[in-house]
Amino acid sequence: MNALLQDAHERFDPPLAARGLGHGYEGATVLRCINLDVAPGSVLGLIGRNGAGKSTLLRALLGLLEPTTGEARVFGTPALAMDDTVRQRIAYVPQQPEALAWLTVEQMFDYLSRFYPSWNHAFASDTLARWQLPENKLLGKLSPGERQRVELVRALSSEPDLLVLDEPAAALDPVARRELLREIALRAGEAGITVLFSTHIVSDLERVASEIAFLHEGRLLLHCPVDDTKERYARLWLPARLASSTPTSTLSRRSHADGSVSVVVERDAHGRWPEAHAQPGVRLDVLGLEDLFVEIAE
Amino acid sequence: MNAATLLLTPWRAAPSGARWMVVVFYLLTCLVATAIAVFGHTATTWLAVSLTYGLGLFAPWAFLFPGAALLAKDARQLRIPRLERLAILALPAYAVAMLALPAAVFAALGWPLVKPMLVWTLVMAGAFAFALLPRYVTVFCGFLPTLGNALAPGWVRLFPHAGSWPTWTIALLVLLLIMIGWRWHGFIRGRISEQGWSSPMVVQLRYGSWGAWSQMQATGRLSLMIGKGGGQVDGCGPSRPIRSLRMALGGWYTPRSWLHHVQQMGIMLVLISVPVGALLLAHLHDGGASSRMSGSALLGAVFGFAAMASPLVCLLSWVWLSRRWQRVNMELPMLALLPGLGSNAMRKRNLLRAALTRPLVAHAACLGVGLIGCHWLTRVTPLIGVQVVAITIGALATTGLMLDILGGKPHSLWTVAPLLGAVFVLQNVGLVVTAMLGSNHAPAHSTTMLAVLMAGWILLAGWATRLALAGWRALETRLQPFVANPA
Repeated sequence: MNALLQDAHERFDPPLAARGLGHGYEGATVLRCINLDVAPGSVLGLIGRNGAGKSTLLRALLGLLEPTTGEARVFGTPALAMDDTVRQRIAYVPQQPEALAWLTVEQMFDYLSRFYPSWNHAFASDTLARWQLPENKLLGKLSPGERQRVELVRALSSEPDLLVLDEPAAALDPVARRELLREIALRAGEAGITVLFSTHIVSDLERVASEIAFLHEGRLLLHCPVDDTKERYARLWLPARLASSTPTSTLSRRSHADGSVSVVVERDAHGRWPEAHAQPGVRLDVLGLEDLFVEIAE
Repeated sequence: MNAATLLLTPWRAAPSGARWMVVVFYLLTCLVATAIAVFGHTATTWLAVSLTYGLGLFAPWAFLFPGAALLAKDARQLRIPRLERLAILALPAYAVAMLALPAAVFAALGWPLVKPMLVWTLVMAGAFAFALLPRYVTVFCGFLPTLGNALAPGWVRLFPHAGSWPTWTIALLVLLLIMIGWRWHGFIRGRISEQGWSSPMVVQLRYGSWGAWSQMQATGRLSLMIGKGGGQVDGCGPSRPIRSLRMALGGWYTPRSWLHHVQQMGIMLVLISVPVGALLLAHLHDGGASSRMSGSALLGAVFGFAAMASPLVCLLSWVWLSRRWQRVNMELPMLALLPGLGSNAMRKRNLLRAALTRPLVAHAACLGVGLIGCHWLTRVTPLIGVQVVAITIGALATTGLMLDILGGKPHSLWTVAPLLGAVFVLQNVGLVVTAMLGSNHAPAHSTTMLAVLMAGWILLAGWATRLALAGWRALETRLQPFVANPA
């Protein structure tokens, strides 16, 4: 009975969840009341400009910082009170990793493998060789790209159920980036692991993510499947005489010097654009993911 | 190019911390030299003034003006020859100014000129060479006075026709200038690396351990702590959490192989053998007449080591740990998510043991060295008491500072520096006072000094205890201990 309850519990608890999560540094608010559920088996791409709060959100979700408000949960357990069974299921790669710089790659893998019961030694050594990473070199002496790839191999070797990557492709060359994305897609597709990664490279997100979350100035502006963003958002330009008839529900709003207004709007539940778009002189441009990002973030 | 630009160039090339520290030191020595000149009325007043001023010259030429080498190198790499020329020309300009002004004063007072100017030039060149020479050479600079004393008699015998001291001073000066030219040339052309033991000391200005005092714990270079042997991973794992945590803390916490320890011991012995060898040379030279002096020097070295090492252990532990707890992309996220280290309560307990054991053992070793030194003294009880109290307070300060880091309430250098300064001063004053108490001619007021010392210790112990308690309470309230304290 307990096993059944445990199984049901695990099945219904999202790998990551945030409720009212807020955080700030030295008086500046970085995260504002974030509510987020990451569905099991999904690949969620967290997108936002530099300084939007992506890294802080990932760290708060994993219990690596104490949020000022709200709570984060990992597989149903409070992130700040995880036990070893939960920890075994998580792998995290920070942006510009610098851990254990005094060890060689081989020593770091030897060290970490002792803590993970399901450590995949064969995968580790094969991938290190395939990605041409020197096993006998000190981690502190690797280039940033090599270092990031080593950390990615380390994270994948622990066979996690939840993989959290902070700007994983930032220091990678195009070949390494493509290999990484392929690996993520493979893991998510075949092993069903949940992946959350932050990025500001829209093409990476389109290639691999099943869901997208857009963080802007500490606020989660949207969270939806990537497919739903296609043909769903548009830039609506209204001339100065119609500026007062701007739709009330918009994702961003920009006023121009000539009095005209640009807003980002989305289709309603029935797939219709706001009524204002049908007025003469109004222009509507459907936005792709990258344009949407630029429109909102600018 | 005008005079103001020329004079401001090395000033702008140095970190602000180094600038002010150096200027304050230089002005203080100038003030002291002026006071000696005004109030001294003996035949050798000029000598005291010139030596004091010479001492003041060391700081800018060792820690401020060498920044021009970094500027010249950068200017060369950025293809800005005008800036490179400025960096080079600023040095003789400052040298002339710093020689001409006191020389004018000496001339006005009718004091000897040649010898002081030679000494000052030698100090400037020596300090500049100190900044440009490889680090493995400068390690031995501290032993130069001892070596000089020990080798002086032999020198005369080896070079009986070396002449009077201005002759060899000029020879030494020429040698230093050649070395400076060689190192400068190699450094700004990139032939001398900025990494490793052969790099010049001046690269410390670039990497922050000189001058950027307030950022010391953030920018301390990791390369110094990376041993070629890495760590001894064998034995780490969930069954030995403390050893595993030590591996993740790095630096001097890292479990090492026996071979590594033997290597380190060998380096230490080589370093110690220089002053001991010098003392031995002196002893052999005068047939034991100076054995008492040598013994005193050795005793002084032992107590000096104990007095220096204890605050240093505290400082290094604080620097290392606060750096690890400042960065969000180092070991903390890995440790926070590492399975096998038990519940959060166990993690806190094991972390405390891993983080504190090594510094506390080091403090105990300092005490041991001090006690060995006491073996040669007749009235040792007060000295042992002083050593025990001083090092216990040092250990308490270390514990307090480290608990504050682990508890998420780290202190800045502006809190840590006065605390460690107080530990250092009280420890040394304690040595002096107890030496006075132990002597056959103890001054009448030594008991009063001891009372004042005790009061100082009580205050310091109170301060350290307060820090430790605050840190402990903060750590208790932390849900998990591996949370970073971003700067």
